[in-house]
Amino acid sequence: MITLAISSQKGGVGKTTTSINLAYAFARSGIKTLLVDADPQGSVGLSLTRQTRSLKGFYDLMEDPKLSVESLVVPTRSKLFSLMTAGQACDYELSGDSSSTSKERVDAFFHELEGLGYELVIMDTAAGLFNTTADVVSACTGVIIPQQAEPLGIRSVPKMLQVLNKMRSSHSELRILGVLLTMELKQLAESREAGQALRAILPEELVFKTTIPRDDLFLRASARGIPAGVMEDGGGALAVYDQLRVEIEARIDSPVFHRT
Amino acid sequence: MANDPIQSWVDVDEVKRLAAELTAPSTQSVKQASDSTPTQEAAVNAGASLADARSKADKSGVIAKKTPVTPLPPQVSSRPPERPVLMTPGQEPLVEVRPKQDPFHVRLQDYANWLRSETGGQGVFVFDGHHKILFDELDDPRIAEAVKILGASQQIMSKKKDGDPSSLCLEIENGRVLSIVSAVTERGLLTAGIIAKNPLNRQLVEKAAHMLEVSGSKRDTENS
Repeated sequence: MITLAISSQKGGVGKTTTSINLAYAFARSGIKTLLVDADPQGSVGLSLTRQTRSLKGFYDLMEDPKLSVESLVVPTRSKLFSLMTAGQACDYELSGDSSSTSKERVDAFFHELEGLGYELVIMDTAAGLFNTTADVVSACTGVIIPQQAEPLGIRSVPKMLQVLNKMRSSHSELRILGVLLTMELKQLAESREAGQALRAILPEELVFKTTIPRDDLFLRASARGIPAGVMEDGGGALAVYDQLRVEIEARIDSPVFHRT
Repeated sequence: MANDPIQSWVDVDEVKRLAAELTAPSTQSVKQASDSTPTQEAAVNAGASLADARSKADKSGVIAKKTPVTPLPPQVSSRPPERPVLMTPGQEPLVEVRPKQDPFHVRLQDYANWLRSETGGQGVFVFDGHHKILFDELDDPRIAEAVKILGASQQIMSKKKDGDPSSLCLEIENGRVLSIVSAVTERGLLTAGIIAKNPLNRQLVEKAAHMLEVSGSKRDTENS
């Protein structure tokens, strides 16, 4: 089973949009996928279902590992695409008991999901690489870091790299799959050039070739509670996220992605 | 660039050093995307805007999935994998045959299958906000009458408790329980129910409401 964390230091960079649409792309390609909302704000749940305020989910499990993982899974119309909300116990992070126990619980959680037949788990995390998010990120096969293609976003990259290196010193298993440029406005020079500048100074293998454009399609899809690729005019989103999927598969050598 | 967005703001050497540390080999094997392959060439083209990507996807044929709602089984190792749909620009995706029945009815059937498997119950029914029967497995007219009365009450409750799923239950003959749940969907308020040995617990009520909401999507109708 492959586990991907979608994480960043900054908020509002497109983690939830990336998580939802990437999970949908993998499910469409035939991979049994679970999208987990590990953001106490509950962004995935708020994007995809009206029932999120009452469903138990990930943080309830972190608080009480005796909960049945299977009972927390919320199916969708696609047999291969399921989700798990953040749940009700979102003050778990503040309880003071998090970091020492959550890594073990995240590992146990992943182990149980693998037993349930999931091939890919995507974890949408909260902004900030600490506490439970740090444990989730380091427990995953790899982490994808969305980064806005705009000057302010790019200027925060050094801080992001510092934090990641610091994390890696205490979580040696941390694996960076790459930085994903998001919200690019090709028609705006500042956005275009910010992305180009970042690619110029970072190693090629640290930045995905796929760029996610800024488009009101994502806002409209969120209003409808569906992935952008499901929208009537979502063909472009389908193509972009499918290309990202292909890049990710190329970076992870796994039989999950290479079956015939 | 006239206004350098990054070089005058950050220490480029520091960034390069930090990046090199991050990409230093670890004990885990993560294959790096350094080879040039046709797949990655397609990924390079993904820098285009959504409009450009849409154009390419249209030429290659973009198929939206029309998979009916079905429950997710706990183990899928015995089930064949779903047919993959490749969306790489320039390649022809596999075409999915659309079901000939009304897609909404197909989804209601799948919802009924799911609800029965989750509860061990039977006699699933669904009606809309105007009490029009949309799906009906009940074979007893007396129960059907009770359903309508209970369903009307459930709809009133649902309208009052916006966003919080609730359920009404009624014990009927032979110790069976009729449970009803409603959800606001794109097709308006839908109410579903089932006859089972026990009332729906809270978690099941929430899931049943969520699945009913999903079933009430208008997606298939808009694309047909």
